[in-house]
This record gives sequence, C-alpha cells and structure tokens, in this order.
Amino acid sequence: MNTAAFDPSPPGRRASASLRERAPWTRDRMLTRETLPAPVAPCPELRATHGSVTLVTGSAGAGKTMLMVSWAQTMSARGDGVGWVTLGRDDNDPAGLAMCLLDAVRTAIDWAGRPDGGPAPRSGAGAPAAMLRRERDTEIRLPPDAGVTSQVASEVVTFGADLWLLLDDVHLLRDHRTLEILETLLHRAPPNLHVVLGARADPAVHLSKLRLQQRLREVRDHDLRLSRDETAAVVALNGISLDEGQVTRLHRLTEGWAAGVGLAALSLASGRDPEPFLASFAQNDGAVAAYLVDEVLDSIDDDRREFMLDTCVPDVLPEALAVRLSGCDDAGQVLAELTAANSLLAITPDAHPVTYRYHALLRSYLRARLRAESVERFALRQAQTAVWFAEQGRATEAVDHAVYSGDAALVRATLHRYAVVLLLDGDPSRIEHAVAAVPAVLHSDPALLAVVAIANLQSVDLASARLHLAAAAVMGEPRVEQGQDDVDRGLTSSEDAGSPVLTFVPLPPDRVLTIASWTARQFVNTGDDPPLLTVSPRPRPDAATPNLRDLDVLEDLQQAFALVSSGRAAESLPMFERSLRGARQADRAFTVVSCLTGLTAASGVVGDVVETRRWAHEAIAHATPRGLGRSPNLLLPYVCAAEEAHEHCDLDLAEQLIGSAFAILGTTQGGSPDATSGGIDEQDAVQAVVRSLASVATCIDFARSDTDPARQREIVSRRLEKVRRLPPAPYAASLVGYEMVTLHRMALLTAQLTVAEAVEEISAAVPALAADVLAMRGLRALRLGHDREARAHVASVVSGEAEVSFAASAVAAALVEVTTARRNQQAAVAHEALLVALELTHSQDGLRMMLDVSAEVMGSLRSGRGRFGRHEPLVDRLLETAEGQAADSGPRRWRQNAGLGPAPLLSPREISLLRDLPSLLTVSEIARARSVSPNTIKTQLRSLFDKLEVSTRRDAVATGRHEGLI
Amino acid sequence: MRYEFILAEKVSATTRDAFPELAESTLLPGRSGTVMFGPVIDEPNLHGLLDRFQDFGLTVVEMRMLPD
Repeated sequence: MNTAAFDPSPPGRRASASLRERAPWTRDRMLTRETLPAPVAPCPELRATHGSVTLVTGSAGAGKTMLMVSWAQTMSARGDGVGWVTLGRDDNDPAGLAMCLLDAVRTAIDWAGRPDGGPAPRSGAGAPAAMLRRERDTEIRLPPDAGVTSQVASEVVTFGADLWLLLDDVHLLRDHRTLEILETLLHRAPPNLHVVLGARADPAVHLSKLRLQQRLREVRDHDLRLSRDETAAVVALNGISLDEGQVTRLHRLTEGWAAGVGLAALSLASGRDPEPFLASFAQNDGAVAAYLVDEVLDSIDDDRREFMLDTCVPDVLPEALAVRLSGCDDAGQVLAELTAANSLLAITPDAHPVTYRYHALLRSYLRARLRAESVERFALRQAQTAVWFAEQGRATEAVDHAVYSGDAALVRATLHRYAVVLLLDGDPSRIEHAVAAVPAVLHSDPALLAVVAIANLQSVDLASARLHLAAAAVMGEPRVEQGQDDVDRGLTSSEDAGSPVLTFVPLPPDRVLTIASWTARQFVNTGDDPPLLTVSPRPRPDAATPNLRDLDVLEDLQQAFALVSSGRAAESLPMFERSLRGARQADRAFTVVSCLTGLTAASGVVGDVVETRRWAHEAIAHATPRGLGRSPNLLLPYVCAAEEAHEHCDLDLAEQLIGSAFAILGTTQGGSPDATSGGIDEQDAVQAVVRSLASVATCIDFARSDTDPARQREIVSRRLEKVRRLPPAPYAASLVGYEMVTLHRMALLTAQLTVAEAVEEISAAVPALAADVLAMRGLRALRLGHDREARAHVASVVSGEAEVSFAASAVAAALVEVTTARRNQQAAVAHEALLVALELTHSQDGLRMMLDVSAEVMGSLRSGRGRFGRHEPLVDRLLETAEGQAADSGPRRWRQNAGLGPAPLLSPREISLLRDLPSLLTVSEIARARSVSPNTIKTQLRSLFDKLEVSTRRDAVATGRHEGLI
Repeated sequence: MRYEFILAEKVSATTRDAFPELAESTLLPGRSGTVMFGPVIDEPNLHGLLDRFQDFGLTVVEMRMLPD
C-alpha cells in the first residue's frame, strides 16, 4: 500500500517523497544502546577508496528503525550530514528511487552542521533537524540510471565532510533495476559517503564483496536483542518499577525482543500489578507477540482500546482520518498521548497535516483482532477510510480500501469516480485487481466493463480486453434505475452515524465504450471502428463533474492516437493539444507525458522536424523530474532527441540519449532492438519506434567509430543485412526514408559502393521513396566521378518536380549540383545551389546532412563566406563542426581544409593487388603470378599508393588493414 | 501448489483468521507450535505469505511443498 503524504504536492515533486524522507520520531526518551554505538567514519589515514556500509537486519519489532533513528540523532549532533529515506513498496521504479536518493543527499548537505542539530530539541521535533524539508526545484536533465550514482557521488565529494545515508525497509526493493542502483551506490560510494541499510530480510545485493573489502558492518537480529540491563533501562524509562527478579523474568520471557519488552511495558504502564502479569505471561504457550498485544489491549481502558481498533485500518493515519474513524474530535490528542506513551506508534514530524503510523506488528494484530471481533465493523472502517481518501482526491488509496471493505456498491462508486484517474496516472493494474477481487462490480455495468477493457489494453492484456469489450458492447445501455439502486443502497447503509456515503457519479457507458474501441485500434486493426471526429476541436465547455473532466482528457488522448494509427496524423495534433491542456490542469503527469509523446509521433509522421524535436524535449523535461524518466512512453522522445543530437554532431549527448532509450527498451521488451519477429499487427507503433531506435543507434555507432574504418564497414554491412529482412510496410515512408538515406550515406563514406547500390534497389521498391532514390544515385555517381550522370539523376529533385519523402535527400541533390558546378568552374551556379541547400538545412534544423557530401561543398562554404545572408551563422557552425571533427578523428579521413576526404575508392584489381602485399612475394613474383610485366605491377602499385596516400608497401598494408580492405 | 508451514509459536484463533486461505493441521506428537497449510499460487505469493508471517512476529520453523 502507498505511504502517501497529504500535503498538496508542488509540481515536480512526487507526493509520497516528502513523507518518507523524514525519520519517524517517537518519544523523546529512547533507549541508548551502549553496545551498538553509531558507526563512525574511519579516520582519514585509514580511509579506504569507498565509504562504509552498515547493515541492520532484524525481524519485525526487533528495533532496527529505533536504532537507526538514534544513530541519526548522534550523527547529526556530531555535525555529519545525515540523509534518511524510508522505502516503500512503491519505490520499485528506478527513476523514483533515484530522485529520492538524490533528494535525501541534497537535504543532508543543506542541513549539515546546523545549530539546530544540537541538544535540547523542541518537543515535537525530536527528529534530527537535518530531516526538515525545503522546497527545491530539481530540474535534473536526463539522468540515465548509472548517472544517479555519479550525481550522488559528485555532490557528496563536493560536500567533503562525512555524510550518512540511512535507508530503512530496504527489503521492500524487489525490482532488479532498483537493486542495481542500490548495488552501484554501495560499491562505488566515495570515501565520505556511508550507507546504513535497515531491513527485515537481507537485501538482494552482493554483500560478500563488501565483506571481503572489510567495508561491511553487520548488526543482526541477535545483536538487536536487549540485554538484561537494557531491559531494565527500558522498563525504567517507562516509569515502571520492577524488582531485579522481575526484570530478569521479563527479559527471559521476551528473550530480549525489543517490541516484546515495549509491549509489556505498555501493559504495565497502566499501573497493574507486575506479578500476576508475569505469571500468566510465563504460562502462555502461544506466540509472544499475540499474547502481549492482547495483554496491552486488555490492560488499557476501553475507550483507548476501541480507539486503537478503530484507527488501525489505514497504513498511514492522518489526524483527520483518525477523527472520522474513531468518531472522537480529540483524536489528535489521543494519538499524541499514545505516541508519548510508547514507541509502537510513530509520528512523522512537520508533515502537513500531522500523520501517525502504528508499528507494523501492532497494526497486524490490531487488524486481526478487529476482524475477529466484528467483520462488519472491519468492513465499515475500510469503507470509511475509502470514502475519506476519495474526498481527498486520493484515487489509489480510495480504490484499495474500497476493495478491502468488500462493499460492491462502494467499489462501483469509487471506480466510476476514480478509474479514469487511475488510467490517466498509468496505473491500470489497480483497476484490474479491484475488479478481480470484487467481480460483482461488473455486473450490468457496461461503463465499467469498458473501463476495464481500457485498463487491459494499457497493461497489454489483449485477450482480456477483447472479452470485456465484447461484453460491454452486448450490454448496451444500463437500466436507468441501476444508478439509483446503488445510491439507495449507499444511503441505507448510512443509518448509523459516520458511515460512508460516496455520491455516485456514473460514467456514461457509450462514451467509455467508444474510447475503449479507439484505444484498441492502436493495438489491433479490426477495421470496424466507431467513426473518428473530424472537427478541429475548440476548447471544451467545462465538464459537469470531475470524473467527466478526466474522461474528456482521456477521450481526446485516445482519439488522437487512433487518428495517428489511421494515418490522419495532421488532424490528431490539435486533439493532442487539447488533451494536454486538460492533463496539465489536472496535473496528471503520466498523461501529460503521453500527450507530449503523441505530439512527437504525430509531428514525426507529418514530417515537421522542428516540432517533433520540440515535443520530444518537452516530454523528456516533464517526465524526468517527476520520476517518469524510464516510462515506456519516453522511448520515442529519447530516440528523436538522440537523432537530433547526432544530426548536430554532438555525439556524447547522442550516446547518452540513445542509452536511455535502450534502458527503457530493455525493461519493456528485454530484447534486441532489431525485433523482426512476428506480432507486427499488434503494437505497430512500438515496432516502428524500435525500428527507428535501431537506425539511430547505428548512425551513432558509425559516427563514433570515425577512427576505425574497418569497424565502420562492418557496421554498414551488418545493418544492410538486417534491413533486407525488414518489410517496408506498414512503417511510415519518413521512417524508412531515414533508414535508407542514412545507410546509403554511410556506405558511400566507407566506399562500399555495392552496398549503396543495394540500398538504392531496396528503396526503389517503395514508391514514396522514388525521388530519394534519385538523390542517392546522384551521390553515388558523384563519388565515382561521373558528374554528368550525377547531375542528370538529381535534376528533377532540384527543380522540385520530384518530391522527396526525407528532407536530407533534397539537400543532397542540391549539394550534388554544388559539387558538379564547382568542378566545372561555375561558381555562381554553385553558390545558388548552396543557398538552396542551406535554406533546406536550416528549415530542417539540420547540420550533419551538409557535411558528408564532398570536399567541394566545404570549399564553396569557405570561399562564399560573407555572401550567405541570413545563413551566415549556419555556415559558421558547419565550418566549425567540420574542423572539430577533423581534430577529433584520424588524420586520413578528415583533412583540415577540405572537409570530408572520402575513403579510398579502389578498383577490384587494386584490391586484389593490395591483398597480395602482406606476403613476402617480390614484385617480379607477383607479376609472374598474374602473367603481366613487373612494370605493369609497379604502375599499379604507384596508383594504389597514391590512392591510399602512402609511399611504402608496409604503409600500404597498414592502411589497408585499417580501412578493413584486407 | 500447496505448502505446509510449521510455525514455532502457537497461533491464536484471531491470528489464524488473518490467514483465511490457510487451514490449520494437527501437530506431530512431541512438537510444539502450529501447522498451517494451504494453496500457494506462485513464488511471489509464497514470499508474500512469508512476509505476512513476519508481520505477526511468527517464526517459520519448517516449510515444505505438499504433493498434489
């Protein structure tokens, strides 16, 4: 269950984070464990390369959290930095965990060494002052998973002093990605970062390595057991007087189990006689915990007991909820007193509103006892909790508690109100679980059936989606009285005071069913869909109720996606924007990111490069600080951003971005990016993104291997093989165009002309790429020096007769003109054509597309400087980039003043001669083997050496190897 | 799958009801504690059950899969 905070979360902060980064505080008087002093950082001379790790493990009630809290106080008083995170089940999202860790570290740094960390804290603020939260706007740009650890490390190193990071309930981390983060953090912590882990079970990280490095200190369950003297101390702290013998007996009976001693003390605090208590304790043969809890509950006065039973249902207990559940206006007072009396009730300081938490052990027993005493009362409390959360707008808790109450009417009402919110928050499984637990809810309710179908689609459970959709379609309109029935039932159960009523606001079944069909369309092309609206949407009138408002947002979003799937991307754009506005207003971050991704996709299909990139950046910028950085939604934006970085020749950024894309892909598909397997019908959109990912990754890989031509040749030929096996349909022409054109360009760069020809052949089979093929042929002819042929090929593209589907082809065609004109001493023509190319490149936000064509282009750019008008900045950038690349890469390929130097273009005879060179054969021997005169060989060698730009045989061999020709 | 759990402690009726999917069985003579058995859907379900035992401070002494 969620450990949610109830203060309104500022944008950019996940609600639960602020609650869990405070240490729980209990009473001022806590036991000091002399035998377990707070860990100390090793002195500088002995400092290892990494910080220390302390592991505190113990079963429930062993006292780990209390120990860690007291350590935190000690450390803070010492002036060290202290950061705290209590982990929950919801922390299995790696991006979210990353944010938490970073925040905790930053908070610790902010508050380290503050005077408040000293003695005499004001009451109610017993928690170390370092825990106080300050608002910050964390605008972290694109953290890849490994980057978090580096970020944490760099901040800690900058901080300089010792910093302790205490992580409680680490055993709740189950996902392998989050465990990876934890593992990296532990193994690579800088010398002044020390991590303390509290867990009920050994965390699934490799501790043995830490043990070998002698960096691990372990405090285990038996260490946490109280000694006899410590038991005496706890008893004394609670103001109970026992004689020595009684203390000894108590210690023996509880076996020093901290919670046991605490419970016993609580029992005795009511002033009862210890002798009979200890006697019957000794006779008990049941579970110690059960016995003690029962004892406590029997010993406190009735009011208190009923209060505790009434308030034990929620995991986290805000004061207002306690008032509702107990029916006592002074619930806050009671809770404060209970907290002061024992350590089994914790308070989170400075939370607004104040929240309380029963210790897990006590809570389990209280709930069990409540259920045993009265199932109806248990269900009632669950229902009340559900309604309270619903009133606070907390969808997840409301639905969960409604399900636990087992009240079908309540579950139905809650789902009608909040199911759409859950869908908009990307939490479909909660709906599915609710419906699985209380199936009666779906009975005669086509709206809910349709909602569940949408949830199934979001979880990619297509079989269940089909079933539910079919059932919903068959049902048609519900009886009008249905809604009334539910409300009546709800009202009748409100006969006793304080019982829950949630106004039933039904979802309109026809609308939900239509939305479900549109959603399904993105996965399966059935052909018979409800018609999509064609009107360009004006702002909607404000919906009557909140759930209808949410429905508007969902409707717009799914319809927009359906429009894209139907090939009507241009119409989808305003619809995505309308949905985006609604989602931003309601602060549904997940949906905002979905809208932004949808806009990225639609703009891409429409061919608007600038807009595509803009939306991609917005999506990433919105998702990352909200812990959604690894959402599958972001796959396309990362690919687009990576492609942009590659186009702008920023390879470091490109690699980082494509790495993030792979990270997401790894978690969703767990497979290779070249998914050529079947199942293309379902999830067309995903396959298209995966294919673009592979294309962009290849380009980046190629660019990175600038100094290793052999590797570049390999990349190109392997990519050709993969591309041959991929069908062009049903991918968008722009995607296939990108793939073909970039592969062709790379093939020309490595002088693999046969590959280039093959690419042209494959592209020719796609009608939309006809003009792009002409540009490709032009480039290849240019490479071979067949200028006239080149010019002929690109003529129709240059004149505008033939329309390209990928913009870079038009640029290439113009640059062919530039090159041939320049070679023909036609400076004016060249300049004109260059202006065209610059204009196109500028409109496409391109850069690299002008750089890889020919040395003449670079020459024209240089000589024409000052005459490019508004394109001067672009020209400057181009020349700067070219020089930068020349500096970075190998000497042969890029020459300072000429721009691109092409790979050596050898004839087959020259290649075969080159292959003979590594042998020990003399020139005469080679000549004899080929039945030609040695002079012929010498001439051929000279031309070969010229092309390779070498002067000796040895150098020729070396270059040949380097180029991957041998 | 079906599993049997032997717990070190004697479990009260109330606590037993907190595990509605499990039934109690008789102990072998000479042993103390509680024996509970019942259906387990899969691995995560099993670990969830173990967590719940821990929530109540119960110690699992022995655990075995039962023949179907």
